Amino acid sequence: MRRAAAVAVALALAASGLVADDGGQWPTFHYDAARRGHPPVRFKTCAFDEAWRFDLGGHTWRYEKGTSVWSASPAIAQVGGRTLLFIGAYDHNLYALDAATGEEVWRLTTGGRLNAPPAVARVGERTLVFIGSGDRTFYAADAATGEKLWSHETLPWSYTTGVSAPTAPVVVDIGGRTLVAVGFWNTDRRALRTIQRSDVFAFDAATGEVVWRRKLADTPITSPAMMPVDGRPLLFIGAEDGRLMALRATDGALQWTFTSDHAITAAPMAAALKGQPAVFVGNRWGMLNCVSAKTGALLWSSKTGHEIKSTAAIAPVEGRMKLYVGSMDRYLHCIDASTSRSLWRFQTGKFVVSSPVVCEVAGKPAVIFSSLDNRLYMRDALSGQKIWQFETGDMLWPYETRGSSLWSSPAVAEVDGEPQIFFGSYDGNLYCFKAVPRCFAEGQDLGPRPGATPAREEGSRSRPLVFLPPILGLGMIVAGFAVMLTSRGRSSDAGAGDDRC
Amino acid sequence: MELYMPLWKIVKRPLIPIRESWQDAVPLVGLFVLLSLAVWGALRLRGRAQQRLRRGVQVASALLFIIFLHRCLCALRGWVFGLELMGRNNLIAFGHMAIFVEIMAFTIGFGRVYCGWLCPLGAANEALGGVVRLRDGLSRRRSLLAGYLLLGGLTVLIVWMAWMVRPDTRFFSENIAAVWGILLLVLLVFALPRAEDDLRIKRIKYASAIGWMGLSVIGVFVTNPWCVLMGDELDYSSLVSIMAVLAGGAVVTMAWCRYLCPLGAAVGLLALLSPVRIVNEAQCTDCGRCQGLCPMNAIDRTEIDQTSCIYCGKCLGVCEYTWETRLIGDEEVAAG
Repeated sequence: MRRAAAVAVALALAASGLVADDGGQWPTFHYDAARRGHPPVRFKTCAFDEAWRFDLGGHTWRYEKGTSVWSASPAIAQVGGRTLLFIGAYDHNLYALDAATGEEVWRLTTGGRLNAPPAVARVGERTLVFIGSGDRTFYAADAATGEKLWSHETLPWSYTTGVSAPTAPVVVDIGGRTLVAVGFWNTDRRALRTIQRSDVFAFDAATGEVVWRRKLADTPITSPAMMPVDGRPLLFIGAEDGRLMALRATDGALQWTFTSDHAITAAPMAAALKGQPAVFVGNRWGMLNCVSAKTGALLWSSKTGHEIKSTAAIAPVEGRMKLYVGSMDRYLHCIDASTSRSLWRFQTGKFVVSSPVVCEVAGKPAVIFSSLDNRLYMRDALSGQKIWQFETGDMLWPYETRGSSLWSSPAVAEVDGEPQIFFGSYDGNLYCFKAVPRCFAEGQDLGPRPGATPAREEGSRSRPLVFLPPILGLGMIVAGFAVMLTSRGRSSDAGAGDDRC
Repeated sequence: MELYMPLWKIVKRPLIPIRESWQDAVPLVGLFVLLSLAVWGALRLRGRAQQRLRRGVQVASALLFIIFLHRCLCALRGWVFGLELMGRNNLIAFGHMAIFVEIMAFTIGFGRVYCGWLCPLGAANEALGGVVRLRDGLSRRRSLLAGYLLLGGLTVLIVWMAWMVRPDTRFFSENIAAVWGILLLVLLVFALPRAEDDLRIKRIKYASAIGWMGLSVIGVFVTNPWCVLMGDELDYSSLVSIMAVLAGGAVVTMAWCRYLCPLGAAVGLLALLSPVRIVNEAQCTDCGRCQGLCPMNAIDRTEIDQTSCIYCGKCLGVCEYTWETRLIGDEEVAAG
């Protein structure tokens, strides 16, 4: 009994260490293993200049459903005395860039497109970067050199295998052993014995040995979030069949299942709410559900106007835990995490499918997110007021299938002690922004970039002439009814000989 | 200007989850029960009792799919998506296809009962026929004047609203339903004075269905006018199109169902296979009793356009309209 308790405490300490302060780095999707999107990064001022951009070359391969330009989010870590940024792209390459200058350090070419974000972790003496590729293979590479250390093909190739959809990896230290857990959605359309399955793999991060593997669903699954619950590290994974599942990270045993009201396509986020562990996950029906991490019981739900493909960020703002989540109803929603009450929402021009980041800007909490209206936004986390925004260019492809995965989420990290914003846009550029020593007044920003779509100014629709059309329309309708009602008596007097319509 | 939509669904969880997924058996069962009731009512009842039951089924369908269940009746697009996913994601493919297959099966068996008895959008359109009937009895000139004023006013309002709340989307590729709605309003400009050519104009619905399904096949996300209501979604494209559809229904009875509804076109073609149909073997005496009876304008003297007939039963008992059951290739089996 005492030994079991000691193991539980050790596991809790080990796992909780993974969600602790990473010193301004961004090692995995949405900052930490719990996907909370709230790094301890503080920008001193609220104005930003573009520090560099990395261009994919504008070369468009081809667009198909599920394609995104960049990984859903970059990973940023200190490697060999400098800060490197790792991001995958649809051109099959995992890029390592110098985060200070944007120069390419190395690239690793895989056999498929890289939509899933990478993760970086220290394993023994080396820093490794992990990423799943559309070629059904999971790769581990030396973060300093790009040398491939090991890889694992999750489904052998055949003429009928389809494109794979891997998730973001999550790194878990258990009893001194580092595991990296990742999900893969694989399909094979071979006759009679089709394969369509999502598996979760836990690899030994050092050797690539499969520690455990579990079939989870017949549909695609989301990236896992990890949080210790009662001393045991649990993985929380959503599936397109609507289930949110909790797995024990040590052996993959299923702990509980919560069935949502629609497909879950966004990664869940885990956090403690008034001391109780909870999981927050949005779904395709626009419902943000808060579920007990211990039992899987629904605690509350809040409806947005359209599909949620965004992982919520959570942060304490003025003493209350607040959630920030994007929706395809075009709004960024701020929701009280305890009561599910909507506090404010901000309308953008198009779908908000990115996962927001909350950090401190000029002494105040701010939320950074992108919308598919080609803008990167920074709003006051308390009131939703504008702080700064940036316009990127149009997407590389002439059109997208709505709801398909063209998203990319911003990341923030410190480079040489200086906080920076990184954003891989679907215009083919990866942008880096630095805070500059000036602040803009409300309503000002850096202005559109060359070649960008002109911004639609807020309030530009309040011109007086804008009410002319409805007055005209209502007038015509009233006139139409007047003709109908006033002519009835006269027409019936005219007799049945009229040419009726 | 912010979009405002009430979010009104009562049941927000699958009541009978299929394989523990969000796929809910209740909409399928509900649809089956209501369609069965519709078939029974259409074939067995007559007159006011039949119309009362039809109203009841329409209200029950609207309550079930708009207010009660979270599941949308996504049929035509779902069918295309389902076909694409078969063999790759069978569970989701089933979810996409199940509703459509059920509607198709009933259509092949009993014609367009779904359109006439269950479709909430069709019911709303039919109710708006009350506005159209205000023009009954007017001279042709005044009727057209009133119709055009109404159509023009509603079009101006819808275009204004659409412009005011426009998103930064690509209008054609990402807002197909809105494009279809505007097409309907444009079509009505030409269809309004050509009531005598209605049968020919209605053929445009086949082009509508082919275009709708073709766009779905190449990856364009084609929403439906009813996504706003039944899907409970704050969707710009659907919002614009449903307003256009309802506006059209106030100018020509069931204009959307007649001319452009892609689902209506698809089930209309399948209805040709149905052994159960309304026929009239009387000699036409031009008495005019059938004029204005059919909300779909499917009656041409004693001929009934089977692709348009929605089995509402309004013509039964008038002239010699009656049900006929005839298996494909067989002589008449039964009539009653």
